[in-house]
Amino acid sequence: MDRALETAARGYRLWRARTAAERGNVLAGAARLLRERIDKIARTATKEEGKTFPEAKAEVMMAAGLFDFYAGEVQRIYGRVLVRPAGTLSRVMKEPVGPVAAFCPWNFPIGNPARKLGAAIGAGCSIIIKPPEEAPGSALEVLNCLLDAGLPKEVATCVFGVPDQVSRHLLASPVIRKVSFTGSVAVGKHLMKLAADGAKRTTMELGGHGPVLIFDDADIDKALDLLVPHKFRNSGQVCVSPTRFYVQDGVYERFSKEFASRAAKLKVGDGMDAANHMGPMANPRRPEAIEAFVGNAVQAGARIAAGGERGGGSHDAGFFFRPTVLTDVPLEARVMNEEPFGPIALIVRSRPSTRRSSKPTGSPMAWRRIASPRTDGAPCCWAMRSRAA
Amino acid sequence: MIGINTTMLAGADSPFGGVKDSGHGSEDGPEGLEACLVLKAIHQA
Repeated sequence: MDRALETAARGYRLWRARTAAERGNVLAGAARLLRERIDKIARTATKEEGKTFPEAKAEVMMAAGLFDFYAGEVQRIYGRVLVRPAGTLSRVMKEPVGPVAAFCPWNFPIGNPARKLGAAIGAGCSIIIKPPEEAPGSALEVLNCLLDAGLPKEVATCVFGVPDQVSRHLLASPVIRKVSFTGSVAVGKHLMKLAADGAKRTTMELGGHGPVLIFDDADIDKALDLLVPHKFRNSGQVCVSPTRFYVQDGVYERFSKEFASRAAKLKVGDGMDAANHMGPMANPRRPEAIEAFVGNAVQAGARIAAGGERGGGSHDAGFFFRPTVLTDVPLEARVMNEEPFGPIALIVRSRPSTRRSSKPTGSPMAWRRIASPRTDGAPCCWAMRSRAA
Repeated sequence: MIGINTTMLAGADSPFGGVKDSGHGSEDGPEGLEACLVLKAIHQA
């Protein structure tokens, strides 16, 4: 770990001296290599994480798109000149923040390391990444594309190990100037405390509990076409997964019935088999957690409209969980208040007459308030209605 | 991030991030690059 820190300090001195064009060229070259190696990289991610092969390929394309974007954007890091008396010069410049420590989650094992590597390398920083234990190979594939495109090996390094030991050691070092983390709310807050001791800058991408609002005048067929595959993408293990569906009274029966029937038809199994819509979950803790969420919700009064149990895959012994739909889910159920991070859709009937807000009926803000009984926020929100608000 | 009649929320040129307990700061887009930069003001007489 200390060798990685020494390397990052050296890499930073070396890389910040390079021109924007040189940094951009490395990113553009890595984007080309990602596209060339797409099948190999996507196969690695599917084998490690479980997501379907087409989803993994889409992730490689996302990573390549991001590298291409930053390849151009790094050449537009402008400063400015201030208006001052003649003979004096005042200017504002932008400089790289310094060596970055980045902690990556398993759910996007290609795209997530790519967004952390792309931004840091583009800005002229060096970076140490800690890939997830579940999917170390996918992150290495991304890193190799950068190295093969000419990135000096001191600029980006990779460490493995017990997450808490790695983060404590890296964050205790004065070499690291910024921490980038994607993962749970609890771990994010823990890392922010560690970062505070060294006054290090942080970027935190934490949990979510995305609400979806379905209005009476929505095109229900289109909403289902969009939302059913989106809900079960990556077995719901996505921080911006649609989780709570607040459906207006007039379309509640139809929406929940058809959502459940479509979910029940999804094929679960090996992500490399093109016939399957959904792969296994990433590790044994996930199906266990979802099973507990379902049990608790049913006790609280929710109904299982589809799934609700393990299995559904080609290997029932694995980490497979059936695409699950719960209806009439009470707000008190644990799953309404904690991020489920799994293949589970929570459908709740919304009656404007019993809304918790005093705002006028039909106002998107009123609905937003109904949609957010929690106080801790969500990264995203969807609305399906007849026209843009 | 809000999607109206679409599930698409992200893109290379669009900031990605949450508020409150969902985190702070953005990745992707120009904002993701800014998050790795610091300002230096130099005043010279």
